[in-house]
Amino acid sequence: MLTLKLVLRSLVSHAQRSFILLAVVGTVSMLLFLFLSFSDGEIENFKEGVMGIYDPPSDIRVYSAGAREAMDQGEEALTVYALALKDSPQLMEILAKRPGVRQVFSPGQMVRQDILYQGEKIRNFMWRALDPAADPWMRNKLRVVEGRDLDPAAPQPQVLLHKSSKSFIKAPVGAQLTLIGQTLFGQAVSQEVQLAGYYAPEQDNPNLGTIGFITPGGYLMASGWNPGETFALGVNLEKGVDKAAAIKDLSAWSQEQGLGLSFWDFEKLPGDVFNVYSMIRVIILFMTVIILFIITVGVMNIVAVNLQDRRREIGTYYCLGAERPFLIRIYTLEILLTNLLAAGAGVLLGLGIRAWINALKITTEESGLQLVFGGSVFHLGFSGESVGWIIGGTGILTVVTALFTLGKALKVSPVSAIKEEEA
Amino acid sequence: MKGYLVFALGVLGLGGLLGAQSPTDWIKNAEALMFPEARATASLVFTAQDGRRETYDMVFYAKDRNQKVMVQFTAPASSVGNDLMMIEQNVWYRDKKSSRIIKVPSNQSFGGTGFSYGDVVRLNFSDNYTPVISGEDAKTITLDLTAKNREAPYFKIVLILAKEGYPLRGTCYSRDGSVLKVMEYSRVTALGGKVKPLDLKVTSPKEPGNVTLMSIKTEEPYALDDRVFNKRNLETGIPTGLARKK
Amino acid sequence: MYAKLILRGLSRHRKKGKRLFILLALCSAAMIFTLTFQTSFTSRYEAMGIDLYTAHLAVLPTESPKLKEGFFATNKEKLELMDYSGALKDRITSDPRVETAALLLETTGMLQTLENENQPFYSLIGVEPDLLGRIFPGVQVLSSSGPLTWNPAEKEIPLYRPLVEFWERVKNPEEFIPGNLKLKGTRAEEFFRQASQELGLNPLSGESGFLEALNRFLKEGDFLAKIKPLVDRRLAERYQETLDNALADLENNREPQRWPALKKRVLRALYPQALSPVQEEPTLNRSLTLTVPPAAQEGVMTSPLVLPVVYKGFVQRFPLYFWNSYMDIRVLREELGLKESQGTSLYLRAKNLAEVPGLKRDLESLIKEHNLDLKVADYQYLGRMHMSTAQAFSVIGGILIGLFLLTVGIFIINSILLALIQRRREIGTAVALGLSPVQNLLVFLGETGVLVTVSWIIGAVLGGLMVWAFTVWGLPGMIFFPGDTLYFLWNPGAFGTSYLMILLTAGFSALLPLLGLLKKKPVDLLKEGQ
Repeated sequence: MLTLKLVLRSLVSHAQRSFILLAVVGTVSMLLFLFLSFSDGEIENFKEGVMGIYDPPSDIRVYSAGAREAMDQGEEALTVYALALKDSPQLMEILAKRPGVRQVFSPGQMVRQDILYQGEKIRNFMWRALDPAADPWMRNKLRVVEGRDLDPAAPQPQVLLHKSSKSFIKAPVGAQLTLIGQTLFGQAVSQEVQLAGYYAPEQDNPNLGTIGFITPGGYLMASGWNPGETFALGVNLEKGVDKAAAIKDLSAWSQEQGLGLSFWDFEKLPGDVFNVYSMIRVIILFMTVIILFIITVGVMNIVAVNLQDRRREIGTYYCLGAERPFLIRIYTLEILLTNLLAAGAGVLLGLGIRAWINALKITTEESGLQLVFGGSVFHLGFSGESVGWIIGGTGILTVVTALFTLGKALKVSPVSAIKEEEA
Repeated sequence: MKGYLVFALGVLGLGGLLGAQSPTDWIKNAEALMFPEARATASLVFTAQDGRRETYDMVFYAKDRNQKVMVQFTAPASSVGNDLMMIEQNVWYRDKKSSRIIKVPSNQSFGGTGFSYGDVVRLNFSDNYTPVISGEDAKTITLDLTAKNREAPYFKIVLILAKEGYPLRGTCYSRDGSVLKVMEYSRVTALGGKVKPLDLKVTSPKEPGNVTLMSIKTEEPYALDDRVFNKRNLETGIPTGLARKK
Repeated sequence: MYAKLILRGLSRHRKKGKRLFILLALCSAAMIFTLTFQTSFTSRYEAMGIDLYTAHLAVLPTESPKLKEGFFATNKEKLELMDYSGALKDRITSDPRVETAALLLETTGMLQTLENENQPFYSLIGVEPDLLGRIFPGVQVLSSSGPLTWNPAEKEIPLYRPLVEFWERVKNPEEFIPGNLKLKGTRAEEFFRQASQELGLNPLSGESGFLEALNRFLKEGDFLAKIKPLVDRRLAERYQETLDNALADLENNREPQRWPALKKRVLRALYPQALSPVQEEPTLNRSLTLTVPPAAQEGVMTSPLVLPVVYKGFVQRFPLYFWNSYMDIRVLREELGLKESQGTSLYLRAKNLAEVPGLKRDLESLIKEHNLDLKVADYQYLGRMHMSTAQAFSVIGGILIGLFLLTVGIFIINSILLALIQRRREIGTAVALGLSPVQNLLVFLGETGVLVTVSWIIGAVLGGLMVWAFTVWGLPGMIFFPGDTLYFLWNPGAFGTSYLMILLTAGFSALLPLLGLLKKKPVDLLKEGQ
């Protein structure tokens, strides 16, 4: 308590000097935070935006027992689809009532089908169901840039196509297109659909050019699923609920109820594309280490000079009978408090700048930059890891500073307390 | 499209039959008439919208109501050796020039070639479809066949049978009710003691102007071992002993 | 006089300046490193793009998918062809600026193993084998068992594919591992009993015991003789095409190295409910079947083009972005029924990069003059997608450099402020002795300059060493480059730039507090206890 009191008092009395340290560490923390936000944003963009359209993310994925394994082991599609979840609406309802579960949804399986328009066939479009009213998550990922939104109640199934496909298909809004191909189960299928419009994803990427959205009725037709059937469910947890524990609980519950479900951590499911972004992340983390290292030298400089100027104060402590360990504790705590305060302020400032930059919605049409941003809109993200990295880095910075400066700086004779001035 | 051929094989055959009662009996009898376990020869003429005309002759071995089919081309020379085998959902194609076999799963179309078999592979009525009588007049009976499972090649087929038991017309529908293929049977002739239509014309509203006409020339009942329908036989030919005249 | 004052000041306060000195040296080193990283990344990436994918220029049919936005343009069925003959060919073959011109046939395909399992396949590039290394020198053959050149006397066509990726590797090619077992609990026990009895295994108990016995069985010489009666019995009970075919594949196998995998396939076909599908790693000399779409719009009875291919080489691919396989263009052309002058693209490599824009202009006017349905695209356009990765790294590098400079600035301001406080009397004395405030300022600036210069020299040595290390050993973890490694390129500019930037930053930062000095009177400076 006494230590804290002394530390606070000296912080206040040396406010101007502490301010320099505060400013330096604060600025650097802010910049590091923004730097890390960039990589967070890249990953968030990709996960929520681009990949999210392919495979909407969730905390937990639910499959029927053995389905995920069959898929990963390379079993044939029909064998895998035979393991789909039945009666998904009921299942979603009871899952949603489990403690800790915030939301349950059906991520859906895309189905590949060609477009026949004016006698020309354009191959390999991937179709995803979308009910704008019932699926706000997905709906918010798109903007209709031409035409109207999908209307599931319309007499005919409707589709939305990616804006970049317009140059290719050359179909006007309202055009009748034929979707032709096979269902997921190999049944020949064709259906007339109406082109409701063209969409632009909130986060665009060249890979999304072939993704089309179709009203649920049309999707059911194209995919061949039975009503109520789905391959997997996504479960999102309440904030603060531990994922591993939730998976354990849900598995036990499913076994007890004989539901035959298996629960998987979505982030641990295989996905090669993330490797690129995790690699960039590692590079960025490595760079922050270099910066922190350089900053540490600078901070050591400031602290050393500060303490040099406070020799009298140190001498006075000795005069009053203070021991070295006590002084080390006081000064370390002082540096730590300053640094943490600075890091906190830096992060807060960074958050403000982040909000401002994100509000600018810097957008690119360049496909390569889209890959770098993780999507078409530059977005600074946020993750606990980044904040932890900065705070942790500051902590280490403090310890290193304390180790390398205090030893020497505290070698002060009590006489210094009464000496007039030093050269 | 070779698919037409497969399709045609699936629905041709004939032999008349019998005052059938239940809808299931109707189609079982029609199948027995149309798809006997046999060795047959046939020709296939394809006429395209742009006036192209291609003619193929072939021998085919079929078993299990056309769930297993082996096709050997006899003309034109360029097609001899490019044989086909169809087993349940899959089509195997042997390319003579490369002497390689490729497999085209039914749920995968190989773009760019029209080589997508899945939608037309073997029409097996009784295994894949549940029939309901939807109409009847003095000479014909109309059956609505609805797919029992979603792996069936078409969602629905409306089959019009002559009261004699042979098919007259079949219309294949997609799940949304649009027509994918139309089959018209004609040239009702006595063959091997059975009366059945020997010509099958297939058209598709999705490809207007393209017409495939399949004509059966001969048909002999055969006893075919299951192992006839193995992909190694696409290369080596059917081993003697596995296929014999009944 | 200035030099003397500066040196004296520096040596007197060298202890206090030590940390600032280290900081400046480190920043210099880090800047040299970062600047070199930026230029190395960009120029290596651009060169890699040219060498592996874009060459310098491409002449393309107007409707070529390469000229469209997005990837999906290739989903059109028809091949967009061009004709390389007449005036275009005359011009290109006679142009001294052109080093290599290669007509390519780019298409897609479906690749199957002899057991008819689909393999990942993206794009196929038909190229004259002699020209491959010259038009795309980056497509290095990493391992090979024969040339790319097609020999019409040989049944199989050589195919060079990208190197085997980590996810294609199979750890246990000759054995079953626990991950291959699908059943758990009593159902697994039941399977162990059944299989042991049918195969005549004498396993120890449990999963590992069973696997050990099963793997021993796999390695036995008379596997086929032992398994055949069982397969025949099974087929007689209930015919299964997959099992029959698996046995046929094993019996007809012509590639001894694949024997283990084929044996595993038979067992998987026997027990599909208990064993997972068998994965196999791509190996040289492996035969496969490639099916490509025909060149013209399909005829209704058109069969696909079936090509018997064999892996004859694994080549460098463009990391992350492109996945091309290569084949002798002559065989592809013959199979597709194309003329010798037909292709989907004509790639050019100039003798000198600087001549590319001129060459492009000239070709464009030639195309216009002869009214050809062609377009010319340069490496910048063709590489627009991948080059933005380099741009992004430049931006990241730029931010880093900004951070370093900011650090320098902040600490210089801090040091000067402190110096002004601590050396107040010294300054006052100097002023009293006749040194004007401006002169004093110059002394301080000089001190800063010397400090920066000396520390930069140390930093340059340190940074140079780092750069040297990365030119020799490369920077690991760079998945954008072959071998995940970026080899640095010497960039003398980085040394000069870092010096100038640090010097200017330090100078301006020092000026900020020093300007206050100008307003002070000597008396203020000599006052006690400020």
